[in-house]
Amino acid sequence: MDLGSNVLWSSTFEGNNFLEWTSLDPGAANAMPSPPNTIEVSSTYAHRGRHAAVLTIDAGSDGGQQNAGLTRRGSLPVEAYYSAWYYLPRTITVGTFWVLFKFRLRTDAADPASDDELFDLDLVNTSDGSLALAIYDHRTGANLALATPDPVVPVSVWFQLEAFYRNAQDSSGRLTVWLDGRQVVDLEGPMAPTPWVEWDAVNVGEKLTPSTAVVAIDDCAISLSRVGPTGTISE
Amino acid sequence: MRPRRASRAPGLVLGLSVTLACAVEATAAEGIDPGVLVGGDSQCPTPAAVWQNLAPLVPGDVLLDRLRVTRGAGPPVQVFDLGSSFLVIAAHRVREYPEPARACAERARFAAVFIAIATGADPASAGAAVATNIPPVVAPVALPPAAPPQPRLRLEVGATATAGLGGGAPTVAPGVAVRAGFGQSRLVPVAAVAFAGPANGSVGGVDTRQWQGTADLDLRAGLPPLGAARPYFELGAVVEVLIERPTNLSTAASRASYAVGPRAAAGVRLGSAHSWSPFVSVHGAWFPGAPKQFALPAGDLGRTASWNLGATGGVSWGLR
Repeated sequence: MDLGSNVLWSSTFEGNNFLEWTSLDPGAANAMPSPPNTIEVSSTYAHRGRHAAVLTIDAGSDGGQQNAGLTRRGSLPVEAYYSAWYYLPRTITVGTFWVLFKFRLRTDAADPASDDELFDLDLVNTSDGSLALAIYDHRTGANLALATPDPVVPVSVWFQLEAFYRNAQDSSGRLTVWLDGRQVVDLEGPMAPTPWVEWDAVNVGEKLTPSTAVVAIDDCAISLSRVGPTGTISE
Repeated sequence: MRPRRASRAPGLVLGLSVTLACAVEATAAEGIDPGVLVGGDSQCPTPAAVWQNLAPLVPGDVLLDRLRVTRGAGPPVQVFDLGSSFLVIAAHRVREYPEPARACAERARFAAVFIAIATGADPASAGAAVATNIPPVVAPVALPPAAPPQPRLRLEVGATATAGLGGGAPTVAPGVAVRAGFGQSRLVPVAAVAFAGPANGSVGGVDTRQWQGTADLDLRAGLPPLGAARPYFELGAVVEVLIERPTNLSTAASRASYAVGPRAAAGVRLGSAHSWSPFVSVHGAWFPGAPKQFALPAGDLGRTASWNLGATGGVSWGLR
């Protein structure tokens, strides 16, 4: 008995293309600059089904920021859960930054030129070289204090990043982030200056070692209820 | 005085036989059609035989008056042969006499005496011959007690409270139920329908509102009375139709499902002088194949409630 759904949108890449992202206006799937950065749907990796997006950047120590990303923006709800599964084929030493998941803002909802950064879910290296999650708040220019410091992100294993984002301009605003179902941050207070929301599932880095960093992304969803590691986003 | 049992009847038979043997041919009933007064399909005794014994006891015109015979209506006295017993209905009184020997003449005399008593007629006023030959009938205390006839149909209407268990958070819903029992024996079939709702529930983070309709067929076994209480037990099968609608999904759909399972109930009806009486019952049903529920992104939400427990209170009507 199918009762219905709280999933507003999902992307499983099973169509072997990016139409789930690019058929929506505005939505995007691109790599900049390209080359050397690439974005493709591949059957090399898959969380469920046969396909996933593979985002590859070449972020050597001598270059600037390299970008490959999937974007949903604009017509997003004021509050929702944003979920995506990630796969890192190998570990990376992060020089400047390495971002997987972003929320962006506009200071003027009607003005694309007012786009700006808000929160980045980054990967950083711990003292033993493992990759751990960090959350950078562009408004303060600092990482948020996490519930558990340096939550380790697995390599060669699919993991889920999920965030509840209520883009309120007053104290009812909220950002809660889970890594594989484990809450790592719960921030309350005013968020972006306007209700406009952009969410990105990305591979953005600078000064990575080795310089070629591959990120596979699958089973992305925007939902009015939490997806969680065991959630189902499509029938 | 507590009525005596039917086993006392032989003594009465002897006494009445003597009395009736001394009765003279009645003349008061002349000119009255016996079929107007005594009916029924009994072959032992026949209505005619009953009339023959009744006429010497009570004048026909007195009977007509006491029985308030109306033109066109059926005979006010009915005699039925039940095999090892016979049943007499007169003046809204009913007696069943065990008489396995099937002595039809004695049955006729018994019936006549009962009719005379039931109608309140004083045999002494039935004419000089009868008055002098028939002693005052004291049969009322000697007549065996007879159970009032069981209704052919028992209709029950009640309010219910039903709890759904075993499918997410427990739910409770109000409702109504209508039940009908057919027959007069201690084991009767019962058919029922009930409706309950709404029940607000939650399963796997999905809030739902449910309406439940059930139809069940049972066998009801009457248990020995406990004072004025008439306990019973029911066993049967129930079909459940469940209409469920989520209340916190962005894309929600009302879904109907059904489940089948065994049902059991126990209840008690309070005896009453009226055709209606109050009753209460508790009931439970098990749906081993309760439907599975699914929603995005929660996925499999498990089954709907596999247990329904409830209670019903209401009014029962016995319809003859």
